Amino acid sequence: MTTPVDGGARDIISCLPAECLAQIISLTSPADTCRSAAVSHSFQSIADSDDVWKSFLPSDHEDILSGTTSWPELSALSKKELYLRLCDNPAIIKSNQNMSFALERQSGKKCYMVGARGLAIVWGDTPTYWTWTNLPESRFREVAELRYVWWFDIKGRIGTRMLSPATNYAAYMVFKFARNRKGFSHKAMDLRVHLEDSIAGQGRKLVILDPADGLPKPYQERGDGWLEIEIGEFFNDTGDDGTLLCSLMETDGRFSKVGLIVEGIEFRPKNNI
Amino acid sequence: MSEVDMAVIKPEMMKSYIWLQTADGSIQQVEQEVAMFCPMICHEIIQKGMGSSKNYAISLPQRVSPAMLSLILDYCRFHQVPGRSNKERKSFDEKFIRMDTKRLCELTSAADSLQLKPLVDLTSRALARIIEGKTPEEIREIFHLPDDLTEEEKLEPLKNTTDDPRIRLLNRLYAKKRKELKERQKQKNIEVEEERVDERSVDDLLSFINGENADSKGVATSKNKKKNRRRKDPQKSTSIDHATESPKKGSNGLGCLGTGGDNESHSTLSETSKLQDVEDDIFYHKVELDDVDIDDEIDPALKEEIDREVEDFARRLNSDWPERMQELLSLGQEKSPVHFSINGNGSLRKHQRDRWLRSEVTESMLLGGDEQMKSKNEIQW
Repeated sequence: MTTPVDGGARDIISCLPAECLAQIISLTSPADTCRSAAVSHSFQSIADSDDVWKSFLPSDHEDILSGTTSWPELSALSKKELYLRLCDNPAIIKSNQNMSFALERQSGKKCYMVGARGLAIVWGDTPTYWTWTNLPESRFREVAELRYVWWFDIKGRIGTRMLSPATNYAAYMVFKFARNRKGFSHKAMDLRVHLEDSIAGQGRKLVILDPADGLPKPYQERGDGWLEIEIGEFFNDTGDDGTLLCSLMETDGRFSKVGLIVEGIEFRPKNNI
Repeated sequence: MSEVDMAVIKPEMMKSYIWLQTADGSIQQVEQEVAMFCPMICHEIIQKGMGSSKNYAISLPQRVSPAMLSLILDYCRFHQVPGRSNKERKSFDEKFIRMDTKRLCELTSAADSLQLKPLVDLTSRALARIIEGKTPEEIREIFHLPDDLTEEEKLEPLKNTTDDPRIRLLNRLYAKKRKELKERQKQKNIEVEEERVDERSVDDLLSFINGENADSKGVATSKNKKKNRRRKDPQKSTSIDHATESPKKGSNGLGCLGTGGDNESHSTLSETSKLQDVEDDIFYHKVELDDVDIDDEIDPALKEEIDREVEDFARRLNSDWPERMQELLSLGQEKSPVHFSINGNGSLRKHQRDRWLRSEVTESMLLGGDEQMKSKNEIQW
């Protein structure tokens, strides 16, 4: 490791034992660590090591992952492979099957999506109004399809202890428009995020989901075939705040709402830069 | 004072000293309470009874040079005083670590051998801050590290543990690249020809990007040839500078596009970013099979359609490149507008994309220039 280069310009970091270099690299970010792996042999072996990548994964990742449907497969991966896999391939929770777990790429913080079957959709069990179908592009077995409804009311919940501490989270409804949709372009929807048992962290906004052409869209494309609209934000401190509740409501009975497909509500870190 | 008087003086007023010996043989005396701040020294004193005299000086590990020992003792001398506030300590630490990188490394090593964890943490954090945000080339420069990873190692396929079409495509790129590298090694006499093919392909690539009607089969126009020749002139270092300059927002991996390049590295910023555009463009394509060969013949109508799509695509990419860069490297869950929306007409678009993908442009992209490959690790971010 201390072979002189260019006849004398010896590297200055080889005096460090591997554990020290591992510590230093784990104090950088996952992104920096990936770049470090392209520096030199010595860096690469450390930058790819489990010791370093373990520090980027949530400390309870094994507990969480052992309860997912892909566990046997995941357990065979190196920590780095596991991290990168979880950034793009959510793992489905076994006991629930309506919840998926993933990591936020930059920080390694936890992301959860509560599938439509795990949400509280008013009139969701009445086939006249909502139907449940299997779409291949969804990670869950079923998605909710709105035929029509006057009382549009969807709520999603997650325990704050499941989220990463000291992190700012945002909740997003993950959805698509059906071919024929109406009722979302004139009336604003009431979007709220707050703690279930208190009024603390109350965030509320009124948004027109499907504005007319030419107006800015409140939703964006996710890149996985779905759209998402931010419901609101919440800062998760220690995770001892009970249950976080998000709701989307448009209940004006004069207008029917038609043609929405809901995959779920996703909770993921949001950086306010 | 007489000796008797001295014996009456309270013991607390007499400082006890510990003898330490560094690897170079020099011995020095240090106040005991300062030295005891280091767990390793503490252990030697208490468990082994060493250090009380010159003959029994504690031998310090080899990694502790006299200069480093001096720094460490400064640190200990300050921190072992119990009455200091956190603010004072923080302030001291911030000033203390202001030293060149080489010394920081040596200090980390020395502190580690003395098991002085607080100092190791402090210097480690400082070194981490130095590494953060730097490209691999910059890191090599800072630490005088050799560029000893082979291109093969840098080209190791990304584990495509995801549906991400970009990674799939990149892996396909890498696979072709690796294959080509192997072939080059085997057939050294054909190397020249291959390079020529590459040059033309790169030109084609750029001409496609620029919306020109260059024949995708790779017959370079004289205009393109001139472009390429111009690019060959600048020094290698210049091209590296430009290449690492181009993507600023932490997307350092792609900045290595063109780094260490030979004739095919592109010296101008726009050309580099254009290439990155195409690679980026390719990322968004779904490539299912590694063994699907590029179509050799495209009928004119199809080709026209492909050209139009490429133009449109390149235009869109070029217009918001910096943001796209950032998004590309964020990959996945970030709020990046995807160029191909997969909604009602998703299947149609996919079909078009696949055809575009199989076009000569892609093939030439795949073959064009070793140094356009980014390391797997850089791409992910």
